[in-house]
Amino acid sequence: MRTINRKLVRDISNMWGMVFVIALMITCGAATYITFLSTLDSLKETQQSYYQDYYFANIFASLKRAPNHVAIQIREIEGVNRVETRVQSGLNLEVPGFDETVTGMIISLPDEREPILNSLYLREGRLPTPYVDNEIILGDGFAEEHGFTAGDQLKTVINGKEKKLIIVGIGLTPEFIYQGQPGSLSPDLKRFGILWMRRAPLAAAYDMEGAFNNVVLSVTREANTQDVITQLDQILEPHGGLGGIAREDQNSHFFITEELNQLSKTATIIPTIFIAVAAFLLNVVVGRLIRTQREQIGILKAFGYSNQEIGLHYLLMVSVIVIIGLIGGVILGYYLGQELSALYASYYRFPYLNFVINPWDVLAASVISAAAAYSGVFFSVKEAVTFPPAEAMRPEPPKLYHRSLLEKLGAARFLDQPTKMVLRQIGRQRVKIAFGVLGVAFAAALMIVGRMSNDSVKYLIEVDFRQSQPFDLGVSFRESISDHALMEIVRMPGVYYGEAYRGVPVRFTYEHRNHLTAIQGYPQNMKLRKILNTQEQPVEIPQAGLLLTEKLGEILNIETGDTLTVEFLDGSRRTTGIKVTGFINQFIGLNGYMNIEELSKLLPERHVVNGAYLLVNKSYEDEITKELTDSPFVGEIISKQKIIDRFYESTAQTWLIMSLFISLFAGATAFSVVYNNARISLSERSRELASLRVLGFTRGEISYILLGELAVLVLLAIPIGFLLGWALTWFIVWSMQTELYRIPMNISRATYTLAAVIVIFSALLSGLFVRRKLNRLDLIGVLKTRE
Amino acid sequence: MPSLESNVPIFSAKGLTKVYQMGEVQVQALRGIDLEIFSNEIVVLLGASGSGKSTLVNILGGLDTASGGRVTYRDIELTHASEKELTNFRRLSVGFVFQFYNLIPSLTARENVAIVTEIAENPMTPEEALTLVDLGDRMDHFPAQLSGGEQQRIAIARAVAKNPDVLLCDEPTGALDSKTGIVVLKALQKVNQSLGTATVLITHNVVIGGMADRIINLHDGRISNIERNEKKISPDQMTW
Ligand SMILES: Nc1ncnc2c1ncn2[C@@H]1O[C@H](COP(=O)(O)OP(=O)(O)OP(=O)(O)O)[C@@H](O)[C@H]1O
Ligand SMILES: [Mg+2]
Repeated sequence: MRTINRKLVRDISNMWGMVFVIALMITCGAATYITFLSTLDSLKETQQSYYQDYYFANIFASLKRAPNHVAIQIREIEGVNRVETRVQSGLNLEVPGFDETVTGMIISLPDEREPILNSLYLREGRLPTPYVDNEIILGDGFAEEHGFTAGDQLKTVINGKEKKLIIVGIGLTPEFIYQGQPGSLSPDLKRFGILWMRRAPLAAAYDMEGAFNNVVLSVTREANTQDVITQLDQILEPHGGLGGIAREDQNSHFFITEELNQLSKTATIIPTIFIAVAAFLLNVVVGRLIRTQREQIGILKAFGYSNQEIGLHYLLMVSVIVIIGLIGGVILGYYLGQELSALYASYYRFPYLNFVINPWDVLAASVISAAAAYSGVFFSVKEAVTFPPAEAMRPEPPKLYHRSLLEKLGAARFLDQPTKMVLRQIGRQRVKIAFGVLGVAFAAALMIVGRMSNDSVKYLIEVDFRQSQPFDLGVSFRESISDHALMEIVRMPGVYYGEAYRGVPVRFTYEHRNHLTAIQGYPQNMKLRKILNTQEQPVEIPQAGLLLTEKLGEILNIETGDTLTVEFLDGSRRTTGIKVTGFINQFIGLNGYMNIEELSKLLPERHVVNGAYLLVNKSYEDEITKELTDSPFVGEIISKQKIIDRFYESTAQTWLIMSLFISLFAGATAFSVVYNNARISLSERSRELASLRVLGFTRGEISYILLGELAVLVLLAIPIGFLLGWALTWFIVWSMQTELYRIPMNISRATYTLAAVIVIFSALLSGLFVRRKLNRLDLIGVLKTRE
Repeated sequence: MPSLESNVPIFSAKGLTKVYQMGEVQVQALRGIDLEIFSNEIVVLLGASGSGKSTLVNILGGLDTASGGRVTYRDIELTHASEKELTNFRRLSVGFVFQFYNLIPSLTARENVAIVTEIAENPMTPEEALTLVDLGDRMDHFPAQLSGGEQQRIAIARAVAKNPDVLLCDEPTGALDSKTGIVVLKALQKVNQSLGTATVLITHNVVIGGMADRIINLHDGRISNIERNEKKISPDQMTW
């Protein structure tokens, strides 16, 4: 081995602490990058192949009832590829030992074949025997939550009649990757089950023999989905069609797509921030590392090593660090990517996970890290070699210090010598300290960014749910019923107060843009459900006109005062124009709101309602729920408290993992920066400190001189980190808003505290390591040679 | 055996000045040096501390650049040489011994020499070079494990190991006792005699002038006088 390479090996093993922390920075940056991007790629790839292999439909439509021959008409629509008619219905399920209301959906399977759209993936068991009326396939999420397996029995209420069903198989389809009750904020695998039964027995149970009430279609590549839907709607209109829904608006697909959009933004922004911060720090740290070798560069030059040879030497040194860091990053990223994808894949229901790691992502992470490190080398080596070697090798002239500001202000009398040294050191090295401060501040900022989803969603729940929705129970009716029903409900024991609303499905059209959603008609002075304007202040529903969620206004590109074309999809099929009178702030969902009386005037039936909000005595809540569930009119009951609880329950794990993961990275970054600063200060000042030891200073005193500087650095960094974190969060919120979610900007006090604690803890830890090094300071060795 | 200096100077300096800028203060280290150094000769540079000895030698060795005037080494004009020419000049022609040793702390004695011999054209082995300075038995020690004098001898071994045309030594014996000092000086003299290496030797020790062909006195950045030493003696005959 050439001696210069031996020097390389030795330098690396002598500085292993610094090598380790620099490599750790690269590992963190690259691992975050690879984790998120591989998760995103894997989920997208899995979704794609699942959709393709299991023939996920393009159009979905529900209707009252149509005879089977209508399917022939549908098949003749131009651009239609496959058509599958079905019978489906909601139903109640009973799970022994699980008291809460469990609802589900039962869907028909063709009698003598497998479905040609939304095919079943059988996890276990077999398909139900044709024409047998008590065999079903159970959705795998629900089965997993409750421990059902093939062979078990399931009690159900089908069309009002209790019925015991035998589970012959466990399966899933691309139609229900996201499973949840309408109105819930998160997938709910426990309280919502999907069942598949053969067509003939199911049709018999619902009086649907020779007919269907649901149809799914796939279209050819060239087809215009919107045109197909228009024609489909015309065909189904006489049969009580509720309007075709394109894949984009299908519940599961919509949620999944939103989640993937969200993730793809997270997966670009967060790792980019992480790797950018890592790159910045890497550059600074590598630069400082090389500056400590200034004298050695001088020696090599004096003996005729060329600038290129010296540059190559340090390039090689940093390459070793970069490679160690990248290997760590790729392995960790690969591992965490799998874990994170698996977490998502179980939260949603995918039959399998195609874990893909895109070589380009690995390459990109490597190139960014390497480029950052090499630019650090380049500039510092360049600086070192342009410095005349004679000067590089001269013992550094005593550095020029100044009295610190504090001393100038007259505090000198109160300061001891070591404190003066700390202050003067800081005064002299303003740039270095500034970079150190920035580095630690970035670590704190990363921590804040990492906890962002946690904070924002919590805020969303507290504001959107607790404050704007003071109700306890929300009840929706199976059909529009007379508004007398409300009075009966309010008479139930434990119910304090109730307010009814009317919801109508509509299609909004403005210019060429349209959107399928609903108008909620609320009574004047509604108390149980508040609507907040864009300034988050409660607003009253206006006497006339329509309020839209802000985001819907953006989608339709409509402004206050414009008239929106509203097509009611309730069967009346009326179309009218309604003036938009304002916008409101709602984080989830895109609805229109108007006065219930005004709304009723536009519809054929006047005094009907679709649901009610109730204020109840908490101790009666379960009883009331039970009683309402048994009522034939009641469709769904939502309990605000339960929705919140379930949401926290289902997301707690994800948050915990994410939080942990990001805290770890932020902590590692803080540790790296502080350790590096301390180590380099130590190597720059070891003579000075050793001299002090020789003069009789204790270890504690010299530690104070060295670490005091770091303490000031960390304390300065924390508030700056808060500011940076706030700014980054703002940037992410701004760039991440999607159709479904508008994340509120909120950083909790707990997050600030945690960020500060993590930074301080990491700093203390690195201080401890340096202190250990300081304790072993070889006095004579240091004074005899010069590093 | 070459007797006295040949007629062709290998170094020639004209009106050499060096100014250090220290913030607002200017330090005039050299104030116009005219000087020629010939191959085969040993020149001893004497002068008070701060008189500019190290500065001059560093400029001759291409480690530092002059503020004014010109220096040539054979046909290379050092004052205007390219980075590449300077590197080649140092790599092939010059051996340095620095006032502050400047060893590489992460390399052993042997390796500190090897790092130079590996890039030289016609070097001794590191072992030969270290034996020359009587350190054959400490070759695998790191600088921190050696005394100041021992470190100085490694620095000398490192300088002579490449068999350079020119040796520039900044107080090579400053840290040594007289016995070891003499060993070192003998090594330098041997190199000079056997290879005709031009040697510039900075010292505060007037006695060492005894082995020189010429003694140059520096005073406040100027050459105050040059004396030719007619009775060269061997370091063996010196005492201090
Ligand atoms: N890098 C520098 N910056 C500022 N002044 C310098 C620098 N290097 C040398 N000097 C000044 O130049 C003058 C000459 O210095 P030089 O090192 O050449 O002296 P010297 O004769 O070698 O002294 P000594 O015998 O103490 O080594 C001195 O006044 C010194 O302070
Ligand atoms: Mg000197």
